[in-house]
Amino acid sequence: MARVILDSLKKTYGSNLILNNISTVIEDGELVSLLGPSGCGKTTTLRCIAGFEIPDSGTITIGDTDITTMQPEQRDIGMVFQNYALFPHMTVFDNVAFGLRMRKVPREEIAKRVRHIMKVVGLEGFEKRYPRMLSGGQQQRVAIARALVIQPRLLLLDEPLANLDAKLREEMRFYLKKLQKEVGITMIYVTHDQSEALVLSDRIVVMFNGRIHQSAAPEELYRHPATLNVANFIGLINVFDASFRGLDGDGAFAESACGLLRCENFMPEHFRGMADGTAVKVGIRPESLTISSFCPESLPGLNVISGTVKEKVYIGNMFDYRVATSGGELVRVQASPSVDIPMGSSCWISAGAVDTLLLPLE
Amino acid sequence: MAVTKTQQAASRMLLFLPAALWIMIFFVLPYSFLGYVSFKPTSSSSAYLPGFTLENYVFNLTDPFFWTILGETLLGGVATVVICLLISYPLAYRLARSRSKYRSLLYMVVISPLLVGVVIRCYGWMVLLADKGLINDLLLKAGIIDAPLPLMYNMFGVMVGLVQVYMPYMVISLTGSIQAINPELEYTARSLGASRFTAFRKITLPMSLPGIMSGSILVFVLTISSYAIPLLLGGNKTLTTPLMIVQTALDAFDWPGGASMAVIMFVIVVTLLSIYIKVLMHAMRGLK
Repeated sequence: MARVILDSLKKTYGSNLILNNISTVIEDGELVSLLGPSGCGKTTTLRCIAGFEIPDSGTITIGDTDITTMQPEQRDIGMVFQNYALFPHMTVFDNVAFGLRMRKVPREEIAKRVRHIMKVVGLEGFEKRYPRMLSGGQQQRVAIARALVIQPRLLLLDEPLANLDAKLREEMRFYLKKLQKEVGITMIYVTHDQSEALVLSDRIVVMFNGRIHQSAAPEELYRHPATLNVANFIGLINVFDASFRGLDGDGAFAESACGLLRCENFMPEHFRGMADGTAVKVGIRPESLTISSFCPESLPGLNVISGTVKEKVYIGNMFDYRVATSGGELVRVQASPSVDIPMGSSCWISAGAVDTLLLPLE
Repeated sequence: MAVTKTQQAASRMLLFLPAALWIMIFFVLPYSFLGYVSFKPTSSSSAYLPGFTLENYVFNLTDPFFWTILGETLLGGVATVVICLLISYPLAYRLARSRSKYRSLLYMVVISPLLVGVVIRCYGWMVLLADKGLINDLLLKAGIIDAPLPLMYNMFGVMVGLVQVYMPYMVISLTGSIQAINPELEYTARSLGASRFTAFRKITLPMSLPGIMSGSILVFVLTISSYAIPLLLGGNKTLTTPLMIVQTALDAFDWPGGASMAVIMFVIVVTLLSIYIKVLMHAMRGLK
């Protein structure tokens, strides 16, 4: 069993707090992404798991073993780097066989296992070449084969697709996901690319400034971001400054420059007992907004804001509007091209309360 | 007007010109003359006599003393290279992997000996290593030894000087090549089950071979052709081929004899280095 438990990891470099209480559990066979901007601590977390860094405090366990201070070579963890890190002075075969040789696996079995894994990654016949003779995508598959052939308990990937061109990157995402299901290995995947994380992961751990902000399935994360940072980082969102106006049944009210908004998409624990008038943020994703040239019927679960169309871009499957609201904000609206509102004309934008996010300030 | 291919090629060649001229005038011409003189009969009244002779070569090639000195000189070169390599590698590794803000300062410290001339440094060593020098003086006063240790005017003193003077070249070569190695390669090796030492032996060491090669060739060539260091720190107790060549040409006034020694040494060194490069190139065939 390769259940990975990170418990209260802390790490500082000088006076910089790099990891601030990182705790999460990665289940056996799960593909978890660590997602966040550069410097958020995702790579440091990975390096702690791999054993290239030792956390100042906290523990890392795999199965029943505490590996926090173990040497990297004793951890039985595969690692794949952004720039592939293939050994340039060895052939593809020797690269892939490296881990098996370190484990003193008999020669015939090495040949057998290398042949098998090369088939899995679709690179049969490349064994005698040197890494520099391969394309980026092929090199990365060799790196993955080299990490997988030792049958590690856990596979760590540090931005493995970042060096590939866009088309190949897309292919490799699906390939990695398929491979992971086939091999059934637990995988931790570090990336700053939200779309990559959304496509690949069973679960995404979003990190900012050394802290975990949210850990959830991709859909949950997109629909119900827990913090403003998460909402901003994953997908597009319009953010309004507002004052908290109390909870009411399933919803809450917030007063923005555009008027009172009802929000039904929020984490109640963040707002219970919050004083009236506390500064908060209201978020609405561009695709949740509807735009029309007339004022929609006022309904209890609908937030309506009036404004003027400032910019309009046709992008095939939709119009991308920028609307200046009565409150002075510039709001992005992505609407179906069947509704075509001319530039400069006044309009109304509306969003259901269920799609209106209430977020605490950081 | 369009620039033709020939013009392009010509302007590229032009860039070689200053260096080519320099090497022509100060290297190729004198060396050719050296080769020319080595085939001339010896004279006691002029540098050489007209005519052609193989006598100088026959004499040197059949002279066991010449071979002994040449052997010792080359072995001394190998020993200097090995000692430099052993001392420089850990230092270069540390320098190359350092992320400290003092890195460039450390680098400066390493190459700062090059700022002082060889002769001056040898006199510095004399102050330290002489029978009544600083080291022997301290050891005597401390009662650790009864008589001064022979630190100078022997092979030991010469080696100390050679290693100290030529080590920066080794450090510079090694640091450059180690720096070019992605540290993630070692990490990967560790995650695949290699110990720190095995990762070094299997990854970093073979990948730094280009630096080892250039550093060792540089130090070897500089060492075996060194004149001032063996002269000053070896006194008249240690003889190397360069000293012997100068003695033959100047002291014995046998220019053709000295020239032929230089040519023989040159041919042997070039041959040895070609073999060395060939062997290392084979070991590095995956790199580049």
